This record gives sequence, structure tokens and C-alpha cells, in this order.
Amino acid sequence: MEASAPPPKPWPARLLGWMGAEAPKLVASIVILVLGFWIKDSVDLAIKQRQLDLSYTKEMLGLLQKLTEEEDLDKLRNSAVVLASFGEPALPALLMELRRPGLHALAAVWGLEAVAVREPETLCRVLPPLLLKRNRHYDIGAHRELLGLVGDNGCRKALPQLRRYRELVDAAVAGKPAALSQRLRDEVAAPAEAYPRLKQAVDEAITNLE
Amino acid sequence: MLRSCLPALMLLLAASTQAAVVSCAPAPGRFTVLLSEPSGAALPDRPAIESFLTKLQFELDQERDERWINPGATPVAFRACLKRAPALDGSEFSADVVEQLNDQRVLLEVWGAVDRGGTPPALSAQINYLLVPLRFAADQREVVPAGLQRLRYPEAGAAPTEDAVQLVSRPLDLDAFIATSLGLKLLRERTFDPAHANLCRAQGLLGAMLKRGLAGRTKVELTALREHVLASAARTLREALADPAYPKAGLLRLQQPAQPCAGGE
Repeated sequence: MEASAPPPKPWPARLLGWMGAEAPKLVASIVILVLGFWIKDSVDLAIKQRQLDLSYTKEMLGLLQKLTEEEDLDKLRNSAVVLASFGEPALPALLMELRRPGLHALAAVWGLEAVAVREPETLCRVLPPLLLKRNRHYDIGAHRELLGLVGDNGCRKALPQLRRYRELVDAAVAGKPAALSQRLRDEVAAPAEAYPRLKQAVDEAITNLE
Repeated sequence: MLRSCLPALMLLLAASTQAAVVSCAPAPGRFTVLLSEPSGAALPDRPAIESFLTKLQFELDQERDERWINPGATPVAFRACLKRAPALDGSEFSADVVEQLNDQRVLLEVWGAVDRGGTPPALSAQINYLLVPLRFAADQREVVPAGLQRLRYPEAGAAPTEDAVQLVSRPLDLDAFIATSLGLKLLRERTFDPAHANLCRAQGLLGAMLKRGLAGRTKVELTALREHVLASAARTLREALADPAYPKAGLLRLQQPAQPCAGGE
């Protein structure tokens, strides 16, 4: 009786058998090739992003100068809105303007509203943490504006931060402003008027988002 | 057609380019009255405008007895605002601009137009008074009278003058509007005693203004303002008496909200 022939091995096993000791070298080469491509793409992307940021900075320079030196409200607003068309790269400049007194802060709010039209998710990521930071960069008027921007642009992920902030404002309205004061730039001149207005702003923002 | 419209268009363009609201820092730690640049033919160039504003600020700060009541350590200061020239219709004062002025404790902004005309030539002016707390209340959808009061000078029967500063620095009118704004602002800040004192003072001063034969819309608006001031004085009393933080020995406890200014100013 004739013995039946063994079944043929699958092709990868046959290939490995045929390649013998050269197989690991081939696999290593393929891995290096893929890694090389991936790293090169990442580096290229990073370089391109850097180049884009640099070109934005160069193009924004004139607008930033206008925004810093200009005093006329209409021109300030125009510069802020044009600056906002750069999107996220314009945010640091607009937030710096928000810290300044007078009409600069008003223009900054216009700019931030313009950013919100294009990139609400960027504002939702950047603005809410500013309310709770203890760096005392923004006055109480700027805090009201930040609350308005967060509340009007659907920043639902900011709700826990807003609720924490409301606790600070409630305490200030009840005559214990110490914790809130650590977040505000200037001393509040008229607390009996200013704190209830801030409370109204935070309540409205939370209502808008719930 | 276009040629006939050209002068009017150029005039409109010139007027629109002249109007500008620039920052004017208020006096730190004080209530502030902003004196903005006037327009008009009587002050034709920048040196004339700057000289006018400087003299006006000095006149208002130094040369007269004020009739409003300063609240303790927070007196009222005047600020000359060079290059700040709002349009005569006040169109730049949007809700956000007014809110910021209110935050900065600006009580009043004064600006207008000073012209020279007639035979013999004499100065005349239209002066705008923006009562910031009142306009702010209107922006918050409260029912209040007009926050922008406009008056013409010289008033009927007054002697003509060649001095623009004397024409504009009307002690009665300015003091009446400052007392009004100060009273309304202090009521918002819940500083009841000086709020009541200023509102009652304003009520008397506005009454004196109305006696000088004003007519038309000016009279209607001033009358409405006086009524609002009296109602606000009554509201001050009610809120003070209802506020647990108001002192037990507070003087407002002696007043009746039905006759809020009966006990004198």
C-alpha cells in the first residue's frame, strides 16, 4: 500500500524556508523603511507647520503693531477682526489686548468673537481655564466677556469649570471675595454692583450650556 | 446730479472722518467726567481745540463751587480727552462702550459743536451730555428716560459771549447732570446716603433748569429726567430700609419714600 503524500506547507512557511537565514534581515529592512517614511513625514509636517507659523507671524506683525498703537475704536475693531482671520495663531495677541484697559479690550472681544465664528472649539479649549487661573491677568470686565464667549459658543465641556467659578462668585456676592480676588487683576471698586453682574454673567453662561 | 451732490457728500465724509472715539483714561480711584473735543467753526484747528479743552478743564476743576455731593473719599474729577471727538448724534456709544465707561465709573461725557454766526457774530453751541449710568440702565432694558441730553447755548435771553469756555461751562447744567449721574451710579453701587443726597440735589437743580424757559424736546426730556430722579430717590429710600446691612442709625430711616426729598437735600 502506497503512503499518502504530506499536505503542502502554506506559502509563507515555504517562503521563509526558501529564504533561510536571510528572512530576519528582510523583515528588519522593511521595518526600518516604514519607520523612516513615518518619521520623515512627521518631520516634514512639523517643518511645514513651523514655516506656516513663521509666515503667519510675519503677516500678523503689521496688524499687531496697528492693534497696539492705534487708539481709534473703529480702527482697533477692524484690526482685531482681520487679525482673528488667522485663527488660533492670533489668540495670544487678542488675549494680550484683552488685558489692556480701555478700548483695546473692547476690540479684543470683537476679535475673539470673530475667532469663535471660525473655530469655536479652539476658544472652548483656551478660554475656560483662564477664568480659574490665579495669574490675575484679567480684570472683572474681561472675566464677564470671557464668560459670555464661553457661554455663547457651546463650550459644554467647560461646564464643570464654570460651576466651580460660580462658587467663587457666589462667595464674593455673599461678602467673601478672597478666592475670586485671587483671579482678578484689579481691586473691585464697587463690589455691590460688580459681583452681582458677574454672577448674572456666569449664570447666563451656564444656562446657555445646560 | 452727481456734481450737485458732491459738496454734500464731501461734507458728510469730512464729518464722518472727524468723529472718532479714542481711549481716554479716567481718573484712577475717582468718579470721572470726560470732556471730549467739540467740533464746529469757532474752534477751527487743533491748537484752538486743545487750548479750549485745557481752559475748560481748569475752569471746571478750579474756578467754581461744585453743587453735587462728593461721596467721602471718592470725589469727582474732570478729564480733558484730546483727540476723542464723538459724532454729534452719539452713535459711537454702543452698549459695550457704555458698559466699559460704567465699569470705569465715568459719570458723564460732554462734547458738542461750537459755532460762530449771526450779526454781529456771536458764539453759539450745541452741547451733548451723555449720562452714563442712565444709558447703561437703558442698555440693560430698564425703563429710563433718555441718557443723552442736548442743550443749546446761549440760552434764550442770555447775553452773547465771545468766550467759548464761558459759553459751555454752565455751572447749573453741568452740576445738575453730575448730581443726577452720581446719584444713579451710587444707587447701583448701593451706597445709599450719598446716592439719596445727590438725587435730591439733582432734582432741585433740574427744576431750576426747567424754569429758564426751555422748549420742545429738550423740555420734555428734562422733565422726564427730573421725574426719574425723584422716583430714584424714593427707590433709594426703599432699598436702604430693606437692606439688612444698612445701619440702624442711618439718616435715611428718618425719610418717607412717599416724599423722598421732603427733608431737604
